[in-house]
Amino acid sequence: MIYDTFRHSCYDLYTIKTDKFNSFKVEIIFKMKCTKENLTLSALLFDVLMDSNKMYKTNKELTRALELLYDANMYSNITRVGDMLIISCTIDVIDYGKIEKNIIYRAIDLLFMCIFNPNLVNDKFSYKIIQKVKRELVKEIKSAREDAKQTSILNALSLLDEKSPRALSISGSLDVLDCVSQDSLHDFYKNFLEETIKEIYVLGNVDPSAIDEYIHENVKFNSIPNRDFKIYLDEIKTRRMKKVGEAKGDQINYVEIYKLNGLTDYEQDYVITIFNAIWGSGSLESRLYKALRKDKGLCYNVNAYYQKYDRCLIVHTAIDPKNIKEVEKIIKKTLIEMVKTEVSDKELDSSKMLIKNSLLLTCDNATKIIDNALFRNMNLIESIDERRKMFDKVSKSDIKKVAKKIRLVVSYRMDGLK
Amino acid sequence: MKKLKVSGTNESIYYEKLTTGLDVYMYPNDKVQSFYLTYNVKYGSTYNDIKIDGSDKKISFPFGTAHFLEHQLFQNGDGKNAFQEFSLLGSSVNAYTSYDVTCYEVISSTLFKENLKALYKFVNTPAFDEKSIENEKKIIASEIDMYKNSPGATATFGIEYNLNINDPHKYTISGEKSDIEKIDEKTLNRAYNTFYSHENSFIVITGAFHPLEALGLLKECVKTISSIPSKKFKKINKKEPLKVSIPKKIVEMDIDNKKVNYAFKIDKKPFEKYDTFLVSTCLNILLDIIYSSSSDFYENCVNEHIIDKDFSYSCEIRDDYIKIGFNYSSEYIDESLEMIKDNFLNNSFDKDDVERIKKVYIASYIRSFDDILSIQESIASDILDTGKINLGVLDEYSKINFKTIKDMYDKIMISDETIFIVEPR
Repeated sequence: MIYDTFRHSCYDLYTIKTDKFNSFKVEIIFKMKCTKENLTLSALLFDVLMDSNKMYKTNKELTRALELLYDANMYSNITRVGDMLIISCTIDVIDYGKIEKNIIYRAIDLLFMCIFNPNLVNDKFSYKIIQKVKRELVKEIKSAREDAKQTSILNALSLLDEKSPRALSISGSLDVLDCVSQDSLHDFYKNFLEETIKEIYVLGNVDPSAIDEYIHENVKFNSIPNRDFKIYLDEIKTRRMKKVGEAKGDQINYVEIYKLNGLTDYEQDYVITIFNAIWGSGSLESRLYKALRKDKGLCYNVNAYYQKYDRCLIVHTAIDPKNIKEVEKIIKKTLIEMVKTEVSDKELDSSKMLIKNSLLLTCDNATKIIDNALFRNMNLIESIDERRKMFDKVSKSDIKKVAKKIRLVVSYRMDGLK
Repeated sequence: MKKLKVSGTNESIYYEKLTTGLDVYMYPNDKVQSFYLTYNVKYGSTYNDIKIDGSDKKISFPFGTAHFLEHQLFQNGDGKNAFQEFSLLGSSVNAYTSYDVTCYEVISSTLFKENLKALYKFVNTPAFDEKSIENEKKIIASEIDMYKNSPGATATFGIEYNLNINDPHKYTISGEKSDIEKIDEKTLNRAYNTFYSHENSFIVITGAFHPLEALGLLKECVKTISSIPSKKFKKINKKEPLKVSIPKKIVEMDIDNKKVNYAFKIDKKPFEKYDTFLVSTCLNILLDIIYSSSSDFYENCVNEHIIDKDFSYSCEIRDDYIKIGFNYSSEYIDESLEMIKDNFLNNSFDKDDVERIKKVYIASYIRSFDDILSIQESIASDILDTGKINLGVLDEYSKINFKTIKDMYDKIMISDETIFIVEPR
């Protein structure tokens, strides 16, 4: 893979030349501060932009144009990384033999058309389309509540601090949606193009200079945004709390949140990942998994999620209500053991292998290759080779040291129906 | 070893049948760093009542046995399990059971030989004991509870219960808690010895590896750990009538949006003279023309709020009938059912529609070679659906035209229909 960077005043273009895939991928990245309003309005805006455009006035027409382009896959996606929102608009189109000449340029045209030439009526987004997209988002937000695991985790995070980005549902908020008008959405759109940080990634068997030239001629970014950006959320200051939540389903969803304060860069980038692979995530051989599922048959699944940019660790499991006390006790015991006793050579070696392998796996996936480049360009991660080397350096005492810094702050159970 | 050229592409798939009857399919890709190994046993949740060739005696297994066996096979006895071995190799191992297959899968990017050997070994060396079986019952009960709490899974399994009278798709893959209580060491040994022979299994390897090396290794494995003797068997399901079992059922759950699963039972007879792949492709193209997001139906129904954007549909060719299913959220159930059925029966698609959707299929097939998981899935479904790899997919797509689709469309007869609704409590 050959990486090239083309700096422009209003945006940067990154090309990744590779013949690994039978397709091209073009991704436009917008970065902005994460707030409830920005998250919800971006979700609404990009669903409106991807619905239709100035040339293809209905979603049916736009979808047919994409199908004629050998089912070019166009979509937008919102990810929260700590205090920042990353909004990506992607088009993915096949590159195979003599199927279609210049297909990548036609794909770029379609993507740009949706972003820069929206389907406006009298300089405003169509009322009908806004209402349609709003209705769909409302349903999506309500449906997200049906996912017991996600709901229980978000409830636990809200308990910690309901105003923090940690507690925001990525689907958006109903109260923000309620207040959106044609004017406010159009204002948001104009500000969005002005104020967000913009990057474009192109991956595939491309001619980087030709792509740069074509994009530069067609892209319509005019502003130079401020590039200073806070990403990591502040450390959690809350003291320990415990709560039983509302009824949902007849199986308890149990969540524990741990704060990770005072971690060094090395610990948060490498040690905690290895710690978590041994304790709660990673393979089905994790200590939590073995203790709760294999030894006691108390659950089908248990997982610990390390939220690096949120500075916390979340444990989730779904269990029979009568076993709650035992489960709490076992989780506590496994963490104490991580502090008091050294992990075994086998545990350390296999978790390192697992993590290093998973890094290599990302090299075979176009989306993950772009994600790796994006995070490297933000100086949030090192190269894959460097990370593999650094993971190898993590020692047993590093893990013990980090285990001592982990503090339980929230225990939350979403009770079953009585 | 045979090198099979995939027509219309630069791709090849390697194949060999080992002396024990185990089929090995390999798609090497020197541009990637990872590999994906699957060991597939042609035994899923629909194999409950069978007869061994040469015997008139019916052998019955409790519902959920295939899934239970999949869980239990990871136990190696003496408190050890396969996860430990793969964990030391740093690879990800998992398994799943569907209606037709049990699949054990490993994904990694290093130690290819060790991973392949370990996969072969753990599937071929079962060690069941009552203690771990009893423990597994609690874990599976928890898994069953998890599905029962999911509105999506409730609707998916609910529509199958409504649709089928004798067909074993009627029952959930994991069985009910009362079913798994009936499973013991004897059940698992009997199921393993019936279904897990090499003749009834196949391996698919995709990604970064050398086919000759993989094959050499498997030949060594077969010499070291032999297969159980092959048994020829037949499923003995009663013929499935074209009537549905329950025309309509409504359940209440703690949800906000109504969920609808709607299904047609289609008579299979008019399609019997055609190749399964052709029927399946044509019917799927037809469904895309009628219902995909580029269809008039979708545009009208979404704009009029009759269906939500999450609308999806599927076509499945089963032993005695064809199932066409729809899955969506709606506040206007009667109107949505009418629109779905009316568009199905009175559709005036044209040549342009067919050619446009064909491009979608061509792209999807080409994209599958980009991903070691997708190409594995494509190979495995060919084997499960037709018993062989289809090397002429692109040629067959190019032959399909308006007339082919129209001929199929004209033969469709809805024999019966059913609906399963999950409503907010």
